[in-house]
Amino acid sequence: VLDATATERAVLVSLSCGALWSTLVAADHPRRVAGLVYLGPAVPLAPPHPERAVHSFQEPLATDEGWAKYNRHYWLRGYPEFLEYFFARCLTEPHSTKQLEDCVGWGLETAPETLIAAVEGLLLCGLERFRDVCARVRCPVLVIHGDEDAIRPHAQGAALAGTTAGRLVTLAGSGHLPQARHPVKVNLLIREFAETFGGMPR
Amino acid sequence: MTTIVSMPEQTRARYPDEEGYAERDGVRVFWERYGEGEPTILLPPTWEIVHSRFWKCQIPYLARHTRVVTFDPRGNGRSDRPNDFDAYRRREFAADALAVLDAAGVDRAVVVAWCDMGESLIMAAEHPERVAGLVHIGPSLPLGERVYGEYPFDAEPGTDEGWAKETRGYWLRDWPAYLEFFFSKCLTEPHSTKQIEDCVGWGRDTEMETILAGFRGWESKIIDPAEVAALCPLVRCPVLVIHGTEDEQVGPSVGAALAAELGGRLVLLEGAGHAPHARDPVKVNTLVAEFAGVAEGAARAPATRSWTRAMRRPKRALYLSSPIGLGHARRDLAIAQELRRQVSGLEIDWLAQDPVTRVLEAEGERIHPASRHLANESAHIESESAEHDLHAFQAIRRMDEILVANFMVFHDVVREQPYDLWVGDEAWELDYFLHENPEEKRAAYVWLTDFVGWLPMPDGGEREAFLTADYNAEMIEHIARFPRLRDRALFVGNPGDIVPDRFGPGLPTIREWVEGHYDFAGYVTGFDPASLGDRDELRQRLGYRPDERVCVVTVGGSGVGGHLLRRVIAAYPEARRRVPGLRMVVVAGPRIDPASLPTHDGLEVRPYVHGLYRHLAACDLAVVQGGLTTCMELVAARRPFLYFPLAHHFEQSFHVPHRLRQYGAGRRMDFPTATPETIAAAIAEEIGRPVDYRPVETNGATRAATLIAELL
Repeated sequence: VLDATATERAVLVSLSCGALWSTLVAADHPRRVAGLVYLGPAVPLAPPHPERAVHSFQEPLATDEGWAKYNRHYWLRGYPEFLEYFFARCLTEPHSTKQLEDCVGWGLETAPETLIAAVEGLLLCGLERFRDVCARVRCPVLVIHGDEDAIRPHAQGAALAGTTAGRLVTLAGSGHLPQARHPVKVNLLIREFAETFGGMPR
Repeated sequence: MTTIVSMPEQTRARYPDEEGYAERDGVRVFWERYGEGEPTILLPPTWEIVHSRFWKCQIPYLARHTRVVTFDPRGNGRSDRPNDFDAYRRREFAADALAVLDAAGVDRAVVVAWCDMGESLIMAAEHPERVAGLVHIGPSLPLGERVYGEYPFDAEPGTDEGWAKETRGYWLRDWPAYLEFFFSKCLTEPHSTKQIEDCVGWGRDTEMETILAGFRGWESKIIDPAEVAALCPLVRCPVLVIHGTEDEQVGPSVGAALAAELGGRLVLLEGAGHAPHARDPVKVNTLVAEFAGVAEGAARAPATRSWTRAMRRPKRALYLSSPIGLGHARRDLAIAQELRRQVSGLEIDWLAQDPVTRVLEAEGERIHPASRHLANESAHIESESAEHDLHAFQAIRRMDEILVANFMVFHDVVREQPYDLWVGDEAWELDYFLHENPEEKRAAYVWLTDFVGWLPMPDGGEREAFLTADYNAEMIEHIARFPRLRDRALFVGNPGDIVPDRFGPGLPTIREWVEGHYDFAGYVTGFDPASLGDRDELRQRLGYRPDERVCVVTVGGSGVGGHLLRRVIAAYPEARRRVPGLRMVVVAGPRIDPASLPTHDGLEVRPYVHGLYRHLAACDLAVVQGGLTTCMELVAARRPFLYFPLAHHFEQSFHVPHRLRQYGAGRRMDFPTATPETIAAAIAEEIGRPVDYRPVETNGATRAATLIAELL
């Protein structure tokens, strides 16, 4: 996309699992990446929420309750129900109906089979230890993480900031999708971060 | 005719951390360094008509964030005054600036120039390794528009009107009048009296002969158009040009042309004149800090920080309590305590300074850590006072640098921490600069005061009457233009307490205007006299025997009152002859050393007393200054008292006596004519006298808190 848009260099702003490949891009193509902003990064630098760790994604499960819905077999049976559950956990702030509807709508624009393939693809990111990928990142980093993120613990974002010598902004009371639920704050943080690359204004 | 009287330098908000001289060709140039950090900001002088103090509104703020270097131009301030023309060429100024950077150990700086006539352009063009960035405020360079005077300097126009004053002949006839004219053309915005006085004062810090040695007209003072054209392409650093659209010295097209020549950014200040750093300091400070990268922002933010989504935040208020005297602290504390009772979960931070912080700390209140950055107002007020004499209006005017510095502290605090509410009890910096910069309002705002209206002292003459009216007019215009900026304006008192005067010629009567623009809380005592219980028991608790006649002498929280204490102490022997068993308790307060006061048998001197109001309630007579709080505590406690208004203190001379008359309370004394004998006689007449004061309301804090709580 950078090539197609004739963009030499950019600040990459990633959400959740996007952290994995934006980090790879920065590590492998340092000239193309001026800085990294992570929103609720899903990174294996701290343990996941315990309630998510108990269920297998690949194996059939005896229950459909809670995080058991994060399962390829369930997705093929009840994809819309999974989407509603998942995004409700993403958007734990009260009064998030519109954001939730948006996300479910976008989820329905693809099919569970595609999403299953994508999740399996994600596992390939594990070819190199993520911590080693981080060690190759040289650009400035900003991590934005809600302290009530029910998808990925705040500790993962904090660890990522620590590993990359980045800055950490904690959004107190915020869930997993601050760019949707707290867009003004996130917009200002991204702009402020991006402006530090311009040096003094000209 | 000149009207401005030179004054000694007023208290600075911040003093240099290092100073020295840089010497070139036998000419010594005085420099100062403030603060630490990168990048260094160099604030060079303009021509020698003023010296480095003209950056007084920038230094304290910028130096809180980074290193700042200033210097006096050769020809003014503490720099040498050569008397040959060539010594004042712009290249000499540029070379001085480099020598100052060397002396201060600075490799590279962001240069912020006012009215540059070429020296900063030369620096940036020819010494790019020393100049990291360049800010031009109202540059005076020959770019298109004529920047020279209307008349050749040696002309004899046959008139003294307008720019005809900028001629050699007029300078020799009336140099001070030229200074006033020149700076009134720099500061064309209404209500710029203080800024003009400052500049004229700095102009008078050198001699006309020195200025004349370096001046043969602007054509030779300013670098010529060919040199400007040659230098501009050499400038490679980032550039910001700030120019007022109503600059009558140099039109804004010059700033625009310079920005274009240098490929820099241009910020036009609509409606501003030639000296926006003085007249719109908050805006200029934030522009400079942003340009230099020393403002808040990602690069300066702590490595970890947090933001709480709005609906999760506890309700939080920031309370600013005037430190001038101890009076505000007690009433603000009472209001804050009541506010917390009315608004559950409310958290209150105090942006406060000594001596207010002593009261707050004793009560376990949370003082915002940025309070340590506040420039001390009490110390300034003391520095402005003479023997029982404080020209309160001029003292507040001469606090302008401190007010800017302290507003900038507030400015930074409320960017880091969102508040639901700001309360300012006579927090002049907050109220003034919010109206000057209304876009800075980001919370509900309550203004409190116990008097409205600057009033002239009779011996101040026409000038003081003009100045007080001008200050009142500016305030009235502020409120008229931004009527919703103060969400509440609370008058601590009742309509009857308002003086019958006018704000000034052609301005409204104060009472009528205040009744239309304020809510009335009634008086806020800061304590409930009933809570003190039985007076005999109180006396016993405080160690006063029933048969003693106790006279408490106190002068509040500032150090201004030492002379009154000494005068009353001198009256003690005679008073004791007249009042058998007289015991005198002298409270020196936190800022007067008790050891510096004489003692007598039967007279004790105490330092600061916590809960002084209890002693006032227990005494048989009090002797005090004319400050409102202490007088009203005595009215509430129904004790007889003598009060000595400070000379030239308009509030103590007019506002307070008017209010005390409403209560039928207090015996006014005149310090200049009072002798130990007359004081002793008054003590004897008043001590233990039964009083018939109008009762003071005891629910003022509750009423004030209720009016404030509606905003939460």
